[in-house]
Amino acid sequence: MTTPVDRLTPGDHICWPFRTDDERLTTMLEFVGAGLGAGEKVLCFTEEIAPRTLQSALAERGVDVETADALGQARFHTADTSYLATGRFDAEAVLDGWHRQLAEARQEGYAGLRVIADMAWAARRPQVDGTERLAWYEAQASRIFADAYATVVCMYDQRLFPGDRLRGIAAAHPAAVFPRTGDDWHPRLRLVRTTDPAGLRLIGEADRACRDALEAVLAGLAEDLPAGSPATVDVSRLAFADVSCAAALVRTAGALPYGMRIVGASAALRRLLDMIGAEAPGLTVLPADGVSPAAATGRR
Amino acid sequence: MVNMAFAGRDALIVCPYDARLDARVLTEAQRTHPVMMREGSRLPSPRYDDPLVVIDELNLPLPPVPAHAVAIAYHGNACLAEVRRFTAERAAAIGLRPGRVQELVVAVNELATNTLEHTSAGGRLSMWSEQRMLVCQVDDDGHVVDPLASRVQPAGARGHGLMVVNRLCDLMRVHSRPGRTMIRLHMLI
Repeated sequence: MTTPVDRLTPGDHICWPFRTDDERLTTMLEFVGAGLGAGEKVLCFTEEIAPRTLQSALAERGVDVETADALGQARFHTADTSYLATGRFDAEAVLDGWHRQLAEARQEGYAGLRVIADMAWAARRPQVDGTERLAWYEAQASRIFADAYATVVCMYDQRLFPGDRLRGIAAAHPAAVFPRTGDDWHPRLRLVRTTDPAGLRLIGEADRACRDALEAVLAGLAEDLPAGSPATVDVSRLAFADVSCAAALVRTAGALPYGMRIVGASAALRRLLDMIGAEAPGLTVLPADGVSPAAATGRR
Repeated sequence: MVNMAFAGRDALIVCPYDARLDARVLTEAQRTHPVMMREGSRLPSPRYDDPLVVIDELNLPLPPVPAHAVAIAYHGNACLAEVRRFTAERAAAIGLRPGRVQELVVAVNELATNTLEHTSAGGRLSMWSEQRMLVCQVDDDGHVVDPLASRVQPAGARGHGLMVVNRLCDLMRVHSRPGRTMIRLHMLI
């Protein structure tokens, strides 16, 4: 039987709400096991389960966690030594930390980085400064992980996080594993920054469920892409884009110093862009085959 | 609505009405036009009424959704994909051509998104065919306060939702009061 863990690929930043201790443990074991099996570096941030307990459960499943630990391929942390190392939740500092972790894993030669984090600390310790910025932090983290190297799962205990708060947090991730997920689950949206041409590839469906992640990644393009050329946004594998996605593309195009080229837009998305941003500065819309810009802007 | 849309703008709009039309139509026209022109002379309309009052009077519930309509309830962001799948499958089965199906999917997704944005109870989508039209309706317990929300292009890059829905469909009808909104979309097959 396949599980959502099997459907993950580098670049995914997944919100994973869960309801039972059993689901938490199973997911962590599967995820860490899959990462080590694939030769990736694994960072595991555990909160309700002690690192030692997790390690022995992995060993019981036949995962050679001892060797991985000794080699530095697997690292186990708690919130106190990571997210809350400064005594408060300093979102900017934690985001900087991810940049360092990604660079380090690359330098060490790993094929990828796997991160799984039980976010229980943010609910268990509401008095800790900064936890109210969690949704903002997650949206910014979506920017960092959009370079297709890390596979990240953020576990949220639905018994600790109220539905309203969790909805906002989920929308800051490109995809979520919602309850009652069937065997056909796959990440709703993938955001992959590209280097040649410099830009962003959108794969899947963009709707309200991932709105904040998409908006943060788009708004960050000015900073995250090398300067000097327009950003190329490849939407040829974007099966659906809602009105707010189209509006965010138009806004971003206007804010980028060299503008934006949208490649591979479906007829429906071209129509939306035309309605919202026909006069928008900086926006060029190319058709699905990527040629003949004049014929493809959809202007009537 | 024309009065509100053009309020404060430098425009003169003349609507010729045939004086042989039904008396009720002519009386209604006096209520909705601030100035009457008759045989060359301009007079203030004696019956002109506040546009909001007239709009409110005409804000009547839509005819009921037929019993044979197919329907789906939605609640939460996770359901949007299901709403889109339902819309695409049912619209294709009714005979809407593929390009129009995609536009209807965008329109319905937008209405469902509005439900989730403005209410906590979720909503219900129904679809059926009527003569040569596909009709679908979204029901929720929200309230669209601005009668021009779907009629006038907003200035910025936000708030386009209902305007886009209106333009994507062949006809859009709205009835909204506190605690109840029904929006019905029509597409020619």
